[in-house]
Amino acid sequence: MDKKVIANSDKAFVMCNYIFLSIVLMVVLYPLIYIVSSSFSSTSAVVSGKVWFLPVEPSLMGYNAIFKHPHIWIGYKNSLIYMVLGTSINIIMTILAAYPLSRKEFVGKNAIMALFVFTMLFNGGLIPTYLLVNNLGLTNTIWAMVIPNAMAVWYVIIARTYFQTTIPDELYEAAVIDGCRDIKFIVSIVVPLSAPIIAVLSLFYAVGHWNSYFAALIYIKSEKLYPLQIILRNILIQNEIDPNMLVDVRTLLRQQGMKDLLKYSLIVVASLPVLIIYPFVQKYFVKGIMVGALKG
Amino acid sequence: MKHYQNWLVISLFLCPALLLIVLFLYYPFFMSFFRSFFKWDGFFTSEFIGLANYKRMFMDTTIHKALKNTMYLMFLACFIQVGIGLIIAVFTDSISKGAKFYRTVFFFPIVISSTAIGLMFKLFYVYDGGLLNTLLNFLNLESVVWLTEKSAMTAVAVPVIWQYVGFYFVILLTAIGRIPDDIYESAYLDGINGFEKTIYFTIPLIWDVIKVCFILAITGALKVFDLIYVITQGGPLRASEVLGTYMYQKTFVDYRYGYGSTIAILIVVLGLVISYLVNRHLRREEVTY
Repeated sequence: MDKKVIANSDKAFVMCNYIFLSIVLMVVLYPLIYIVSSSFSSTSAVVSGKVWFLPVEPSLMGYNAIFKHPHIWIGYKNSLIYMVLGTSINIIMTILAAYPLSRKEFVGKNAIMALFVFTMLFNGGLIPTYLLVNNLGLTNTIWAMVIPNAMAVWYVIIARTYFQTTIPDELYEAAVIDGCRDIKFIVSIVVPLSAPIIAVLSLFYAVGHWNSYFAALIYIKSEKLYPLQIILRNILIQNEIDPNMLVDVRTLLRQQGMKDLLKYSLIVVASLPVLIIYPFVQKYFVKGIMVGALKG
Repeated sequence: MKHYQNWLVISLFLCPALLLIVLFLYYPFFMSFFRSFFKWDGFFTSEFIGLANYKRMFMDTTIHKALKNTMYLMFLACFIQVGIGLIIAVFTDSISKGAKFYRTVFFFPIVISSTAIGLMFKLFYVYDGGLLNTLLNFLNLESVVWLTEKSAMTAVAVPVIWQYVGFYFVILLTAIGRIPDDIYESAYLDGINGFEKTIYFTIPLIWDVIKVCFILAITGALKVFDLIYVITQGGPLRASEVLGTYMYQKTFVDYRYGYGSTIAILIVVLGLVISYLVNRHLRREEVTY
């Protein structure tokens, strides 16, 4: 009898649990579904608020306007280049920095570590950084996009922790006896053993590069070098209504609708690659955060 | 000799990283500090004015507003963001089926860019045809102006929370998952319920991780910029101005680089002081298991 009561209350609890989590799920998912559906609807449906869940009066007007822009593919290409090049540099820098900091016998490790950790509390400040990049002659080159942020301290700490916990000292000692030098040790032992964490960090860095737009906004002047995010922003600005232009109400309304529709489509276009890859790589993201927060 | 050689090689590995942080983080930081004593437009005029920028900062009512808003954001980040993260984590931990699916979805907003999310919420707040007013009209209610002087700060805080809850959720969920089951066992025999279990066992056991979350939330709140910039630009009437947006405005719109640098210093000092206080006051006896 008693057991049955417990079982029943248990069931009720589990039910409540699923209901609660499903509500949270809706709060997270609904805005995203709404955005995607709106982007595939017609302007009039968007402006008059007819879209609830699925696209209303399906149309590709927003996307047409975006892909008509001559630089959109250049933007995609540039973003891809910045992402691949940037992430490669990131990973090399991160491993090179994290490895010495993970070695127990490395004297001065703690001082350097403190130097690293302290930077997490500030960023250099916009103006001095801007002037520095400018003086180094990096402005308006691809390097402005990948050098100033060639390494994130937080990820160095994650990598260091991973090395410390997964690569036993005995392995290093054995390697030294075999006459294996540090570089060789990194390439032939550390890197293969750290494949999971390298995957995680690559993903974090790559998403960061893909989403970044501020660096391009202040450093890149030439249209040929614009990443996707800037091109999208420009498309948005081009479609702003000029208040000085006298137009009739209907044109105004249509433009207003187009502007809103464009915004929905832009959000989708900008996030598309991440949207597609996310389900496949999310378990690595989760793992990365776990290593960083719990062990670091 | 061998040891010495080894040390040299290993130091060489660190050189690029050290060069990078000294060049792109420490050097600009000290320049900011140096420039905070100047009246400087960034390029031409530069005049040493001692502590005048700091004095001005104490008198500046906009700074007070921005500081208050930043604190408000920090408060929400710690209690609402980490709080919701914890609640969802506890619930997700106690289900057997579908936990992975929920985890995947809850974490998703993190990978979308802040600007896209800002744009998205800006669209929701639109008066005519925005999602929120459409919803109200559907319920036969009057449309509401969402971004007023009074509501703007909360309106920009919502997307911040929405985007980052998943981050704390994943951290906390992992921490909870690592607590071995046998700790709960005797408590179960005493007939403990889920709520008591959370309060007396789970939270104390993951206290360290919660503390890390608080510090991440605080430093994160100090750096919020994109979202607010996209949605309100700090308006209306500076109602949603935070330190980050105000610094941007002072430097890149008003060209008061010296004063902008002073605000940058304020942000760093705040970050240091608050993280230190949190670390000290939330210290409890370490629970090991």
